Amino acid sequence: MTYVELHARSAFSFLRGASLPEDLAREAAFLGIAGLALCDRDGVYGAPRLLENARDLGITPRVGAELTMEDGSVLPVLVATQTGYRNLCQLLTRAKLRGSKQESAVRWEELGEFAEGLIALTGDEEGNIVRRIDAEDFDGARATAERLIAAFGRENVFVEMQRHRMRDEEIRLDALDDLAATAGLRTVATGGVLHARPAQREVLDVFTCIRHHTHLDAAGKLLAPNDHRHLKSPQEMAALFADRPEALENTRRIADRLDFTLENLGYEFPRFQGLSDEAMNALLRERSEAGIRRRHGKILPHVRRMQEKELRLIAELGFAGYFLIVADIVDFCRENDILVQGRGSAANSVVCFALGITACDPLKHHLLFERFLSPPVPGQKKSWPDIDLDLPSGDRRERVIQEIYRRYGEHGAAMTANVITYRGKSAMREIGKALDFPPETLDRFSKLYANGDFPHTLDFREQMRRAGLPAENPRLAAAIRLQQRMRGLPRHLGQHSGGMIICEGALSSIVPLERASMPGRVVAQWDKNDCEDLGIIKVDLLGLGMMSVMQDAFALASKRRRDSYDFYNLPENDEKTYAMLGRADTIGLFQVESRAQMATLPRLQPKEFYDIAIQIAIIRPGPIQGNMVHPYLARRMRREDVDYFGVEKGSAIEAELKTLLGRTLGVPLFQEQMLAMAIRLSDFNGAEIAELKKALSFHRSQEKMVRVCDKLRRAMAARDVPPDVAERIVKSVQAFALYGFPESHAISFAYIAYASAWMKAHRAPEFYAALLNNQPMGFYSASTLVYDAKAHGVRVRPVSVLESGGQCTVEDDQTIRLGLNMVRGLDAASAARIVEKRERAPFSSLEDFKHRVRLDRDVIRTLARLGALNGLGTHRRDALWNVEAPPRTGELFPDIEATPPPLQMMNAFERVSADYAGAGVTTGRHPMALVRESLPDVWLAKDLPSAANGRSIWIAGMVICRQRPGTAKGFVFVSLEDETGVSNAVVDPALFEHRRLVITQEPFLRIRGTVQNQDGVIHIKAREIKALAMTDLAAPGSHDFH
Amino acid sequence: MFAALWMPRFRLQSALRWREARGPIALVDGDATRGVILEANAEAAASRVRPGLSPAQALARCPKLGVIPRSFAQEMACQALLTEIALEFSPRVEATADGLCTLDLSAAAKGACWQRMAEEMVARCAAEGFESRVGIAKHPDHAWLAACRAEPVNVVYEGASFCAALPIEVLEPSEALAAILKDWGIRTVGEFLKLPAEGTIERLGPEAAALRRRVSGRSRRVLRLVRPVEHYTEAFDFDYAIETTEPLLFLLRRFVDALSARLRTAHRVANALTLSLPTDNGPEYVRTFSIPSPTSDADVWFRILSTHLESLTLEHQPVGVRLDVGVAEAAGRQLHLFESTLRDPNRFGETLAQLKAVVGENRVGMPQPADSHEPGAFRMAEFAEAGEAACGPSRRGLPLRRHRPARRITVKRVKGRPSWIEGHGCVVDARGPFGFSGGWWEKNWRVEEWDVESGDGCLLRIAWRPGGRWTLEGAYDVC
Repeated sequence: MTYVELHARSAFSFLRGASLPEDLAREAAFLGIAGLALCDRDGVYGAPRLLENARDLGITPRVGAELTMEDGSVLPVLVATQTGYRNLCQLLTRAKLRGSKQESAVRWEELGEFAEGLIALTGDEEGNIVRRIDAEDFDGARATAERLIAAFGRENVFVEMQRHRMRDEEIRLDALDDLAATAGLRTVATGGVLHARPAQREVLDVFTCIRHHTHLDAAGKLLAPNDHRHLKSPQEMAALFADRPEALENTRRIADRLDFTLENLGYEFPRFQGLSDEAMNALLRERSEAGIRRRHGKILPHVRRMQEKELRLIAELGFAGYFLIVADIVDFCRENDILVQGRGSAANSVVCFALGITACDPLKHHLLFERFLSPPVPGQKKSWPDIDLDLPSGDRRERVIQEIYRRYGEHGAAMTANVITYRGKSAMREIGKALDFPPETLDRFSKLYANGDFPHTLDFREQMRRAGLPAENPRLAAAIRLQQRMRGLPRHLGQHSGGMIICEGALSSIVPLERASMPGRVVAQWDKNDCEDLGIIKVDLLGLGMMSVMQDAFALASKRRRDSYDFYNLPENDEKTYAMLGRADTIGLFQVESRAQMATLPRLQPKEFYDIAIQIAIIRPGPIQGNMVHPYLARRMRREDVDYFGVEKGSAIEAELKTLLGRTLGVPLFQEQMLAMAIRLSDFNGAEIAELKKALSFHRSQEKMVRVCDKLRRAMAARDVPPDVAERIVKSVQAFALYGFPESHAISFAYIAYASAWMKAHRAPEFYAALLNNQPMGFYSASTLVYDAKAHGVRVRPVSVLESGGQCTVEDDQTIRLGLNMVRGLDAASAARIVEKRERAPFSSLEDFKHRVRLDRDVIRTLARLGALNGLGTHRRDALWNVEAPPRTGELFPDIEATPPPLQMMNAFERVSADYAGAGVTTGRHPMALVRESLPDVWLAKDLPSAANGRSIWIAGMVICRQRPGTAKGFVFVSLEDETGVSNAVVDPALFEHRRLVITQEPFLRIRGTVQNQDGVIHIKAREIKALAMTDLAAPGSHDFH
Repeated sequence: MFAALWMPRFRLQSALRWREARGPIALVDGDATRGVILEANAEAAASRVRPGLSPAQALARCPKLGVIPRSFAQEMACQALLTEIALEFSPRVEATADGLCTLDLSAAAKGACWQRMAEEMVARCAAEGFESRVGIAKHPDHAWLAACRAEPVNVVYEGASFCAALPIEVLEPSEALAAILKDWGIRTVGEFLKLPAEGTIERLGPEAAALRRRVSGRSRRVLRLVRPVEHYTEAFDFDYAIETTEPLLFLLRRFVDALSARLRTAHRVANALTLSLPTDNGPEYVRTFSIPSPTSDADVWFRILSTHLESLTLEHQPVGVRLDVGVAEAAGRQLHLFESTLRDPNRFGETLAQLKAVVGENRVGMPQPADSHEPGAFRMAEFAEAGEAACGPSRRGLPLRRHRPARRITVKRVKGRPSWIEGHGCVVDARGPFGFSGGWWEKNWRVEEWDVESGDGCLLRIAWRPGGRWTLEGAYDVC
């Protein structure tokens, strides 16, 4: 028999369902269920994922939703037509935008307005009708049925019957039968599914506890009475409803009426200024040609050929409007003095370069246009191009986002969602609460848990034991089970950092929109992958701290030196810049400042722009996993011969690989190279290229990757590629699929990296001032940046109310002045007031300052502690004494001289401590310099190059970074800063576990280890780690990734 | 003269009462999630374990550190005991702060030897297992400051010069004032006093003036004298989980003796005893015994406790014990005209305790429906509690007469449905199965129930449990 499940909730009902849509689809297929309607609570969050997975499994995915009504009851509706879908989206959007983020109540009187194309079910125990029947309010139930009939029409309302093997439900079903008979309604059987399989009921119970802020022992009847709310096979449903065959048969009848699937979404990208296709094509050509002339002076033949090819394809695909709209956003940024640079596969396009979307000339860098756009394939959905815009983070990016909202309206544009899922630590915390584990156990577990996706060197049971839960604890087994089952389930919906979607017409009729937590933002219910799968075009407006830095640094330099600075006009191939990169002098630089980058730069010794792109791409998990980094470096240093996957020298295949991989010495480092290899060696057609391209991008389907790799193997075999070579290539492809990095990204990043390096080398004061003004960002704290600035000959002057501006400023070619923005607790308005009053008339005394600026007493104390008031007295404590003095205005005898301050000056320790506490940086001596005399056996960072390889030495310093990279097999890298620079230690997993708390908790460390000096890269292999017992001096804080 | 009797590291000492402390030990406050170290003993301090550190930081500095939680109950008990000791030396005692009593010694005999008196106080505390310091001075605040510097006694005749060398923290300035003084680099009382008085008071206000007066000894505050102790609690945390009742009984005997002596001194009696046993990785076991006829007789108390402990079996091993005594006035009660009373209420209480010992802890009382989907689940409530909540929600359908415990029966099935029941014959009609399950996180249970009509005209509820076990749960009342 045929059975269609018409009422299933997934985990996208957020704590009201326990299975992912794909899990439900797989189980439905296994059980032989013909179709599945996903009715998530107040949304269609999970529908795209059901569509994506159900198609391949032979399940017809239906769309529905449970609406939370104003009285708290729940009304399930199913989408029959595209109009119905649009109505559902608009109804949900209206409810969501009306309330706060958590509230979403539909009003009964609204139903009629949006009922067309929808079918209503009466619902389960949360439905209004069942609630009333349970309360023996049969008249009320009848009234609700009449209300639904009035809104949806009698033929579109079904009385829902569910059986979960509960004793009282027969009474309920009899009452529902009576209601259906008297109201003239038909009945339908549903499973009221909350999880795919019985075992997932445990997760549902935990979710129930989370929702009710309780634990399993106390939850009582809030928990599920049994595990029957899982998907049931048609045979099981037939047995359950043997006495009501009509209700079962109606599932198929309803399903036959549900014509709509998300494949018929009806989405269209907006037309640029409402122009026709032809007009948009013509306008794009016109702007593109103008752009090329502006960039190159004239259109060279090879450029014209490429441009023509691109324009033809763009016109064929109907993408001209998209390019024009993105170019329009870029123009808006330029007109409003917002630095912008396109990134992503757009960098492969001459048209994007001409329109000013990207700074990268694809012809100059031999980039592969096919990665950006592929010709249309009959029967295949067209793949939209991917253009990301890098913008300065913060207010400037927000202005661009708000401009898009302004242009398209609240219902016309939205940020894409970001589904926050339960991960190891967050899942365990919730599970622990539900299992009523002691809070301190959970706290310890969290501390022992590696962050993010970093590998765990501790077995889960051992970790629990160390957290205080012995192996014999009877709940441990449940905790382990739940941890595995809850991982990856959605926790809540956030917003993507920059992905925006827009639409021709109302976006709210394509996807429900809701309010984000952030004021002024509206977010769609789907994430970027869902949008991409459904053909909804997104424009990524990504905020980069370094874009802010570069914009500020360019502005400072342009103003001071009366010259123009931009990404496009910096001198190329600058020797000083490359020398700086070659000696890993990269603190503060974009993308090449991490410890791992620093360890590679001296080996790679970049000499030209493309080397920087390689450098950026090389420190990625993909190439490392593919075992590719070392061969490249070895070949670069001429320690290994260049070789192309081991193919026979002089063969045709080698010649082909040489053209593709020659620039990277036979080692594939970029996705584009992978793609090109596949095209050349396998003769893939357009559809297969598209499939491979998708598998190579950051995507979630491992199955697709396996499938595409099989195709690749077969195709290469057909072209007589030797099996061992083919296997090596396939392995590389698989590695890239997980963490691949495209060449176009690397080149776009390399522009910013080179620009930041050039500015550091030639305009250091401007660079450091801009960097400090945009903290926190990057890998290092402001304190480290200040020491780095000093190491580059930049004098850093302290904050002073007589000299400092609102931000850090450049005083002369060697000097910067810390701005008032560095002072903790001093808001921007107060800083502006200080500057404004000072500009009106200089402050004559502290009394004058206090009187005119009128700051909070605590803020004045902070200024005094920092020495920012020294110009109005003699020293910091002088100011601290006078800060506390009551105002003397209107005194009878103002001329009487006050007694001199009786306080002693701060000593060096006190000054450093006050600086760190008040500003996070000190312009004085490094804390390590203050204790240097007590550390005679400790080596200075600057002396390490002279230490013999293998020698055992001590290093010590302030911890500025603790890092445990995912690919380092549990090794931990600790960077210590002293008054002469940074020294790096490598801690093996055993030592780390032994001294974990010392390493992760102590601000100053002393490490003994053996020197490892390879190619100028120096590490200390740690053997012994101690806390540096120097003082309780406040440290500025480290950046930790462990 | 005034004496300050001070227990340094009061909270730590309280937590360590009744136990031998070895090695570095630190006390962490009760909120372990955001917990910080409150106090540390000398060995821990030598490893730079300081108040304010997180336990993780403290363990990083001293891996052998023993971290014990704060015990408010023991602090209360210790504070009461300290006050009692102080009252032995002077009738005029102020409970100045936790772990500190100030004694007005003006009533002491002329020519009394202050040094000896202070040493006696220290010895008295030592007899109770406390480390203490005693300072004696002409001014109550100087006495306290003297106690801070005592080793272990300190008699100060020249208050001003003594105070100058003390760290400023001993004056316990408010947080705001302390922050300013720190900013100013003021570390000692002497440095504080050296600041110009007018300028300092002008800047720091009346608190600074009060502090100056305090250390200068120019003003004398009035002591807030204490009343007798109100709280009667003793507690102890074991180093290891215990397996037998002997150590418990040993401690409880000491507790009841000490507590009953204190109650008798206060002319009070106990009307309830609450025994709490925190367990190893399990819930705390708490049991309250009401004493039908309030008494301060230690033997009666101990009998109640020992009877209960004789048969007590806990799933988790106890790691501590606490005894709280509910206090009542000793006054008698006039019965109503027709009211009778038990001949020996305490005996009745003991009988109930013995019953529980025989039939099990949760088997005496009145059954109440439990908040659970498990069919027939109930909990036993105390008689008084049950009386208040006896009326549950009304249920639909026929009343069920439950068999408790359910009877094991044999059931035959045809196509999965019951067809024959032992003792009742063929099944005429059956509805079900109704499924229930739960407790999967620890004690998994699962049951499938059927409502059946048997050939002999009975309406029965039968149940099947994993393992193929059938039971007769009860019979419906059809009349």
